[in-house]
Amino acid sequence: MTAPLLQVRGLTTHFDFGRSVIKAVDGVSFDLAPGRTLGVVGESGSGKSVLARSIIGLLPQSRALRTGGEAIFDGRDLRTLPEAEMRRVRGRQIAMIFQDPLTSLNPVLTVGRQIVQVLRQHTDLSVSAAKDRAVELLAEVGIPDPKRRAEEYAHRMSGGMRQRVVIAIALACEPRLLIADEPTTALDVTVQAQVLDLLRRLQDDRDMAMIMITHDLGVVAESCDDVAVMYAGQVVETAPVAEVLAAPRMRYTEALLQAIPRMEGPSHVRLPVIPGAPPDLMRPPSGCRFAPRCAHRLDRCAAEEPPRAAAGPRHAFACWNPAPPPVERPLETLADDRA
Amino acid sequence: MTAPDRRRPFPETAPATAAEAPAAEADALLEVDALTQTFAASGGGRVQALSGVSFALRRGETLGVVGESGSGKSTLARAVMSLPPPESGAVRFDGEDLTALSPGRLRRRRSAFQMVFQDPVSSLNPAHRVHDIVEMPLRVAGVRDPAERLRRVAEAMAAVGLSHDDFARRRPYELSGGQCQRVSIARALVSRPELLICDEAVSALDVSVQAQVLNLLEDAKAAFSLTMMFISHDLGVVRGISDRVMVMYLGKVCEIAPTDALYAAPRHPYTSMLLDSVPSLTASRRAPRKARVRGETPSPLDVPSGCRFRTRCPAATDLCAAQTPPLSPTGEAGRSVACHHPLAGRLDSDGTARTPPRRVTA
Repeated sequence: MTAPLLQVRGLTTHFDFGRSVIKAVDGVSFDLAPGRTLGVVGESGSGKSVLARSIIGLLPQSRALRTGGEAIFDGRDLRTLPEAEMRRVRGRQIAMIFQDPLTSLNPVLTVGRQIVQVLRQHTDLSVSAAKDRAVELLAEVGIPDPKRRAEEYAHRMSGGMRQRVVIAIALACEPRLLIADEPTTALDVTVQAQVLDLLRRLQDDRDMAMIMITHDLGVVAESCDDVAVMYAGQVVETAPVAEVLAAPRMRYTEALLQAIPRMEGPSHVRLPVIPGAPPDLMRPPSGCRFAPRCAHRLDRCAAEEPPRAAAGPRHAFACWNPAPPPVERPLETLADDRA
Repeated sequence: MTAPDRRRPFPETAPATAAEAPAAEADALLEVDALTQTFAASGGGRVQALSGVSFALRRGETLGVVGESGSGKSTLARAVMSLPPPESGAVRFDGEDLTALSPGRLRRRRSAFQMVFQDPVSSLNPAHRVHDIVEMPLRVAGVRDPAERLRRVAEAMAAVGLSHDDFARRRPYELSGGQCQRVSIARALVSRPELLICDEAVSALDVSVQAQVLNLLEDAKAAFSLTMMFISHDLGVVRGISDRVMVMYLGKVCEIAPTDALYAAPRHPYTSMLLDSVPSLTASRRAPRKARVRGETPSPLDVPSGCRFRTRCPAATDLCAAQTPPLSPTGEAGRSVACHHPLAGRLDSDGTARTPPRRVTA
């Protein structure tokens, strides 16, 4: 396996308000290799967006902010880079796209101008060369009649076209890592399919690594190699996607998969339910944070935090009473069809 | 004054056996006929949000309505509720045309058809307590006896899994999104409606909470003998809860069919494209794939002539541009499709696997 492009170790982002501390991200670790996609999946409040912003250094400037751990990108720890240095990494080496394409774009500049701005900021292209490149980029993301569209404003475009523009801006400087935070959540399902196809194609062309943050396990299955499942600020399971979908070990992952309404099978089937709601991050439960909602909890679950256990070469989970491993089909064969 | 108590006893009624009987117009609770709704657009044009939509809803049935933004599914829900009344067409509820009722009469009839909205927080008055929110429809319906109102509020709250003792005095901001949606459902159930319209009722909820609310809706449907119209963009959710599914595109019905038949073998090319677009849990990042979606939804201000889907349809012919395909029965039980060239099964990327034109028209 190739050396990782990004190594995250014990990443912690807390907001300390004196009387209470919000543990938004609490000890997250993972590796990401060039050209691969890691899905970060979780429900609202699981900390997945804060994790992304922690890596790229886009957290709100606040005296309450307490950070820890490392995010080593290409040999340098992003957490300790001076802001001036970080600004050169951001946009050039690491780009990010957000859920809402309309608020990500400047309403008073044409989309072409916005791409030119990014190119002029990070490269030494001349204005006219940058303009040509902007039109090329719009063509690459599948915008018809790119020369004319470059002169338009974002509000004149559909949601799908706007997200294509956002992707064009993000990819303008050929970043080595793209962080996509719910990039298709605001889009219709047919538009989502187009944008996911586009991201996959662009990524393969450029051997770019990607972190895809989403609440939708279907999106993970379609666009990711590996997945990190987050619950209450922690990563509770990491694995190759096919492996986790076929044989989740951590009980939260298992319950989450069962709660998804399926496209196949009979109607009017009672969905297995996860009781209760995700915990308040100011007062996370002791021990395993999922324990109060878990149907398989043991006495020790509430008392002790479960350690990370390895279930395969790229599969780890944290659970005292995990789902049994699959017996009939060894994990190796599950991992094979991903290669 | 309506006394809702006359209609049916409270939850103790036997659960409705949904969707057993084949389509029988005589048993229709709701008949929607040629519903059309247009809105003025900024710039002077008019958007035809609904164009000649007709369907019938049997008692005890759950009809799923799917479509993308601009398909008119929410406008349809509101037109059925007369919020606002449709521009033309009829909405017959229990044989009575709601569009012809006086405002006062309509208001009194409202307790029989209730709606649950998408945003669980903003659809509740933040200043009111849960008890008052759930009680409001009873006051509107003129239930004068405070003891009776209290009993029914407690029952409705119990039906959605909220204990009156614990929740009655709380306000919406003290509740989670899932709890707020339970309050919305209790408010809809308290007047003992016959028809419940859910407009994206679980779309704002997380997966784990969504499953709870879906199960609760199924329970409420049985306990209150409800007929349901379930509007959602989520095809997995609709599949689970619906007896029949209606697919909409740009203000028109493309296809309506029993759920299993629709998902197994869509007949309208748009239904097929929609189903192919849903991210599948069995997909793989590295597997080769065909392009599933062609083009973009046209502007509702400037809809294509003839079949509105023809600009994106791999099977489109000149006929599709010239004539609007009527929604007509396919011969399969309970299924109608509006297409000149309906599919035999799932559509391939090149538009193969389709049947020859059903009608040969000049």
